Amino acid sequence: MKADTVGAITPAVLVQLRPGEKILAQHEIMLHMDGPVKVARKTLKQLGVSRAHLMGMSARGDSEEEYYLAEFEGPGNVTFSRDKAGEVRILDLAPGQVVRLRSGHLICFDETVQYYPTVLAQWVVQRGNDREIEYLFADQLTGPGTIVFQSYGNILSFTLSPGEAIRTTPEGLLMTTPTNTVQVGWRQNAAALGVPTAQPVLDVVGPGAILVHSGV
Amino acid sequence: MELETLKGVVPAVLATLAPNESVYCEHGIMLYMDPTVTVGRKTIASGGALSTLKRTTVGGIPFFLSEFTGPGSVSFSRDGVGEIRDIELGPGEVLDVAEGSLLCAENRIPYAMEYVQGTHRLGRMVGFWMDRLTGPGKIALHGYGNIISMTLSPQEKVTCDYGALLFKSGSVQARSLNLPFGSGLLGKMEAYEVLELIGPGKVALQSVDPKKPHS
Repeated sequence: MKADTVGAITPAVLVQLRPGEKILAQHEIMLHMDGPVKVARKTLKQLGVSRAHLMGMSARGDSEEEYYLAEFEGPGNVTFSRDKAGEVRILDLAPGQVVRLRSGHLICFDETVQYYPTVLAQWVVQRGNDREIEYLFADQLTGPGTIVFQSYGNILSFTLSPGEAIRTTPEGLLMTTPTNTVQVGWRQNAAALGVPTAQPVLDVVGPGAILVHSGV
Repeated sequence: MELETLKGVVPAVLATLAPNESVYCEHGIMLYMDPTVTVGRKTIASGGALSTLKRTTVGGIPFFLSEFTGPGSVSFSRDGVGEIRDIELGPGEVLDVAEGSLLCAENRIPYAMEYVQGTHRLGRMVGFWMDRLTGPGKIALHGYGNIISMTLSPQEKVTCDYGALLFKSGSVQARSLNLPFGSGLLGKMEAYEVLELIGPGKVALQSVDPKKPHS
């Protein structure tokens, strides 16, 4: 596919498809498309995600939109928008190259890209008398092919050397390569009403690439 | 009437009115105005009592518009990230504008409502209303996000999301569609509801659906 960014503050993505060329996109983010473009549904099972894995993700509270994706087949143009202010990135993945993108930020990808939903990090929070597990879900994408995604706010890019670490929040992490390890830590806040509080943070340790975004 | 866009991330429009010149807008979007400007109410007369009841209760369209009369300046804002377009309509030119996008229009422009039917299926049972404006006169519109403009040839089609349509020429037909979306029971239950626009005429789309939460 040939993808271009349209607009600046709340960008859209214009994808030009050749005859028979197929891309997959998250459901209901299509802005407009030409008459000849065909649309179909692709379940995650059809993409090679096992039922057991999907049930496991669902039990953890993964979003409903990821049970299936929309497939668009050329010839023609399709535009997508995530209805948010931010930056769009178009990334060409080499064969076997893997990235893990925060869930809810993927726009579209070539059908040659392998898609697999995964959990990037998890931590326990205390809510009153209850202990609950929170998860950071991610879309694991394996090349070859082009992927398009959007951040909320601006993107900050880092390349970490072996053992080099960067600390971010669960909301701030946008993308990481699987060569990085993601560890959950806790940042102690000032005591409120005499009760100390803590906030989860993510320590990402290299080597690898990481993208952080400034919005939520 | 002179229209000036006050540019920025969340833009506004400034209308400068000569004595006894008027503009109308949706109630509640006035940002500021000179003390010499007077405010009145403009009743929407379109389609009779039952149609008004359906439009206001189901569609959420207001009963009346606000009218501002010069001399002086009045500014309007839709409180959203986006772009503003000032358009001068030619005599008899008809423009259908998405509900919630009109900033202001000269008072000599007749205001009516255009109903686009839904798919009559769950999820999009009821259609939606657009503001129908007929020239001559000047109007200002707010597009949420970025505006993408195109001109359709006769019978040329473009398919778009419901929230994407900002405005279309009166000659462009809008039709609700359920795209075939997979097979089996899930495929029949799930719908991919879109809007098909058929030329000839101008179409403008916006990159942010104002009915969805946006930043």
